[in-house]
Amino acid sequence: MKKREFTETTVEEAVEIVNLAKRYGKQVVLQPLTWRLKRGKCVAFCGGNGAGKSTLIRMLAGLIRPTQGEIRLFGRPQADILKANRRGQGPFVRLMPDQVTFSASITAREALRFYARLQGVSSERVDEVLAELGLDAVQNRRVSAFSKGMTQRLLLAQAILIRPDLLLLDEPANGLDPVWSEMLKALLKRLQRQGTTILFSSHQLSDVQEIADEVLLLYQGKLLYSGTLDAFCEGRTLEAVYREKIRQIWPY
Amino acid sequence: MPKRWGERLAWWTIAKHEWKQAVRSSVLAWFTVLFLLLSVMTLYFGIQAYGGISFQALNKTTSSLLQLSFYFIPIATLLLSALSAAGEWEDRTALLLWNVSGPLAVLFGKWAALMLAMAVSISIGFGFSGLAAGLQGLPNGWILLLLMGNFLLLSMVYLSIGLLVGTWSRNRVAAVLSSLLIWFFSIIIYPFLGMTVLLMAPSFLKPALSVGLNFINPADLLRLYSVFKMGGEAVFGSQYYSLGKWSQTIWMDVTVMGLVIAWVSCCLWLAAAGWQRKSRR
Repeated sequence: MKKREFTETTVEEAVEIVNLAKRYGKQVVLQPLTWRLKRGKCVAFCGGNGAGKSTLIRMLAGLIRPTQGEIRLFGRPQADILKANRRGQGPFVRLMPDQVTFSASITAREALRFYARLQGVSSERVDEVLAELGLDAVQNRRVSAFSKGMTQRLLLAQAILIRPDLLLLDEPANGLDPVWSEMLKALLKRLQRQGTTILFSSHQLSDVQEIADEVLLLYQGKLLYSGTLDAFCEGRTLEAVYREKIRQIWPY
Repeated sequence: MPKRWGERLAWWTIAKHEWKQAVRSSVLAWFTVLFLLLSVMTLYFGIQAYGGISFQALNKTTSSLLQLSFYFIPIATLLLSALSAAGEWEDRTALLLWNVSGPLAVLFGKWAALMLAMAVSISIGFGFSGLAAGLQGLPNGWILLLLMGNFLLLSMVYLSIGLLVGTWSRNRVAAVLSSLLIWFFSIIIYPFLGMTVLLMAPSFLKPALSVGLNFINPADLLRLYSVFKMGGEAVFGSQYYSLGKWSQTIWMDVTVMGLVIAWVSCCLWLAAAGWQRKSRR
């Protein structure tokens, strides 16, 4: 397998967001946000439906153009990093989007080989990732026959083919059974130990508490809290603190 | 470090992937069967109409084949490529390609694979009739080969227009509707529109306009080119006499090829701009 060393940069910050906002017409999706994240951290984006989590993740992936503000990744403008990525140069940013429908006629292995070839990744690495995500037994099955959880694992597989420096995951645990939910947490922890900075959105707050170092709490596009989980929870469960925070704004 | 794969070979990888999907889908098989039926039926009825195998029978056959194919190939290729491009966004697989490959590589790869699929389909569909015509001893059987070449040029242009439509469409339904509109305009409405313009135009402008209007629409251009190449310039009348003479020279071929390349390049470039725009909404 072709081993890849993590891109050495002297910049400590993996993500730097300055005054970032997104509006669609008059609808504010994300209010101006300034935020920094150190390399190697695992951060969870929490908030209800329409909080702006997916928008923020897609903006970080370069898929949504901000209305205002700037994103810098590993000390460089985001556009430079994405351009370098397309040329096969790091630091690598990879995204696991939610709800992707793969072509009905291809198998899991073919799908993964396709994304691997585009990134210059060897077929040995494809085998490794298939095994890592428990898809080796079903690798020759058409993706159209996959369950939601299996499709989620395939999506995660394409995102980690080339070991990313920054991994963006939009609701990665959606549709996963309890066993694979545990496996996902273990995998993310392993990637973090290897140096990957991880940002993920999730509604499953118990999972967040288990793996995230920091939390970024959003409500209707507004930042309610950003910082370490310990400081946020003060010994209580994240779910209890989250409910309390939301009730302060919206007494449901 | 991974190989510097980047944009250089990305289109080839995408083309291979697209080709695999095209071969496995039933659409290509259906197109082949339709082309086959189209060519066999026109050959059969062409021969029947003239009571046997003759040069006239072949002329009748080729003109019918030409007309039917110029209706069918544009809509088939438009739908094929528009659905392919729109599907990437509707299924959200385009999100997985965004930072591993540039839009032009994706679109060119798709175009190349679909072009190959159409080439196979046309070759099987029309090639069978060509073979049958040859075995039956029809004279000028090479005309079928010439027609196949022109159908490939037609496919090239309409596949790129389809990719443009699919990339700028919101979803598959919008892509299909837009494709149908474009087909209806360029194949059905445009010739009538051209005639109306010619009727209203001052007489000194008519010769230039009649040629110019045919050159603007790729379907009309290639239809004209096919007829000229088959030696049928007489059907157009005296207005096309000079063009008919000119069509015997290499410059007609160069101009047609140049216009086809220009259509394909412009459409792919505009489609790439649409892809980029969708990627950064």
